[in-house]
Amino acid sequence: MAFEAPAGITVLLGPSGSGKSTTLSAIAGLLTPDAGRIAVGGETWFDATTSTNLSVHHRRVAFVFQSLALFPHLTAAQNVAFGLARRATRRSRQQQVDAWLQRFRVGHLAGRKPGTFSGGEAQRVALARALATTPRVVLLDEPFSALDRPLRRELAQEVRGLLRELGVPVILVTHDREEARSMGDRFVLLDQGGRVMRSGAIGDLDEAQHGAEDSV
Amino acid sequence: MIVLSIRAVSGERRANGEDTAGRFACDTSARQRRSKVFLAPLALSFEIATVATALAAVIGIGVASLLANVRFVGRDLLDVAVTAPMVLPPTVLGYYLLVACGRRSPIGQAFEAIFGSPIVFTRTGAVLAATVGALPLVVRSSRAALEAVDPTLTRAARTLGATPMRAFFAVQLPLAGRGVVAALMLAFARSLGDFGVTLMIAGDIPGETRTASLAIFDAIQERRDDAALAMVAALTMIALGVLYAVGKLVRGPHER
Repeated sequence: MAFEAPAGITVLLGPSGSGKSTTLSAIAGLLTPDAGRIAVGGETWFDATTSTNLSVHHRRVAFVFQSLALFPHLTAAQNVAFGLARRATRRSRQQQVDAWLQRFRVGHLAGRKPGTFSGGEAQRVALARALATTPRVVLLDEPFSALDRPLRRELAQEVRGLLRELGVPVILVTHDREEARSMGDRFVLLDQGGRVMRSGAIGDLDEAQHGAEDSV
Repeated sequence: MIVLSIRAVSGERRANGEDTAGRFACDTSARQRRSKVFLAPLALSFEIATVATALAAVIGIGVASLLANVRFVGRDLLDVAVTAPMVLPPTVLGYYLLVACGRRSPIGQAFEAIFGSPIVFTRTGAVLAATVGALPLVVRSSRAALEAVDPTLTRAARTLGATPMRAFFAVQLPLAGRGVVAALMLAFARSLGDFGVTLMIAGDIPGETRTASLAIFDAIQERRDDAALAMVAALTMIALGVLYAVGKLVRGPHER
């Protein structure tokens, strides 16, 4: 597999088992590929030939897991604060936390724990936590899959604007074509074996998927 | 005649008072001695169990986190080594500890050179015996509790910039808290009642290493049934109390 993801939203599509989530994990450093190279902004994060492997906590990746992975023992504010630079002052961190919670319209959840959140609220807090770290890459692993369609559409709209503002590469894994078309700028289509079949501008997605079905 | 009768009665009372006081003084000192006989070993057991549990906590949680989170060569061997004290006969375990920490061993000699006192046949030996007995409980139960924490949460912590150490202390360990505390309570109860290994490496020295378990054995040998019964009752209540508390803790506040 080889692809480039410039600034903007790149949608990673493919059948189950094609390695979409594995790709995100490799970019984040959560697993080590057997071979290959991962570079972000000219900096090599992984290179099998030179044994380069930057550790996870140095990569500054915002990863929103499918399960959201909110820390159940921490409040929304504490979850968002978790990834903020510890060298910043307490007040500065608090201001950032408040700003991000407000940005996602979940300021009222600051003192509450994830067990009391609705699906949409949990999603918003997870996004706030990930984006508050000023990441170099944003990885979204089917972030809206647990939500119903209207809520999914609403949140996707909001998040798309914020992600574009960040100006960093965003890789979105989704099974939902409508979501891919509404959120993405580019797409990468994988086959069952994890190889890149097609890639290009999101407008060409339908044609690419028809072509892929025909070749099968 | 009336006056004589009164003097006679007063005389009897004085005589009885002195006799009662003497008997009272004898009874009181006997009761105090009996109390000391069973309170002192219980207090010593508590002291040793507290220190042993603290040591087992530090070592055991560290080993449990290694076994739960890291893949390394020899992992299974380490697991077997820390679990072995649960299945080895106490005399066998005691023998190994004597060989490893006795006065002629390198460890024993180094300890004595630094601290001026040997490990064996001292309270240090009793603490060592209790710690070794408690360690498998801490490791196994803590490991299970740590492994039960959703690994995605620690992965999420890592992607948010946490080092492996911070991910462990800030996320995994707090979420495994109930299980770990339950493990430590069981370890405390186990440490309180150690017998065979303590006898082998710490001996049965009154006031120094005569723990409650050893004192019960001595009391039975010497046919001091009340002393034995008092300590048996105390240890039984503590053990059952710990089991009950552990059960409540593991089930949690919302489970029935």
